[in-house]
Amino acid sequence: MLPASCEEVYDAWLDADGMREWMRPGPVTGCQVAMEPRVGGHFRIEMASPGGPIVNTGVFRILDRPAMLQFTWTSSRWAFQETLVTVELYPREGNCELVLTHERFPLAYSAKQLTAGWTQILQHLGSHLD
Amino acid sequence: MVEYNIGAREESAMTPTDSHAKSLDLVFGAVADATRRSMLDRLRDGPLTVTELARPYAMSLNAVSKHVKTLERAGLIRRSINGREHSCRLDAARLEEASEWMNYYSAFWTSRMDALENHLVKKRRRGTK
Repeated sequence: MLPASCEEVYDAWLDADGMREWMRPGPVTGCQVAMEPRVGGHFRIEMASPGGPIVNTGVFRILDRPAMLQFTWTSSRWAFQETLVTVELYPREGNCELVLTHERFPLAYSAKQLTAGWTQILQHLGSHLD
Repeated sequence: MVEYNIGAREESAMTPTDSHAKSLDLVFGAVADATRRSMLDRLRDGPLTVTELARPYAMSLNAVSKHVKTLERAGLIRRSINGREHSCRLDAARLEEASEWMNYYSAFWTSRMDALENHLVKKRRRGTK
């Protein structure tokens, strides 16, 4: 459960300046965020880390304030394979429950084989913070 | 708490292109069965013939064979013929990569959401919007 309204949480996802703060992994020295906060708009997050820079890019698919954001997500760490992130926001008495789903689509390893790569991650912050 | 759900999903605006949809259905169908998951688990320790694979299950060899075919069609195992026996081998790379990816992003989003919470708390204290 996030201690903020769904509007505040939603806006945080589309605020490049703010995102620079919270997108940084632990030992990271810097983070750059550029985004076009509209459907079809691109974003780019570059994180400096001990292992080298990690670049994430994507396109916003659904922007439905204050209930849902959906965007594609690729990572230099994972060969820029396209994945899909959906963020759903539920109002809970002045707070906001955030459910994040990260889906990975199968790659075609070869003409004959199709992968088993679709995984769905549901993250409930309320339980996590308990 | 992070939940891993591997299961069928209804058609929605978020589904990938049709050419991928069928393969996804195959994978979901493949792992959405306890016996098949058990088979995949056992194959982690090395390849098994269909007969060996069938041993612990209270079902006909024919039923086992159907399960094996389902796993094969989903690309999760590969079969080779050794004399008269069919040997089944796990496509470990595929499963391991999926598992590694899941672990990576589970940790990734957990830490980011912690940081987002801190960020929101700080923002509220500052009284800014």
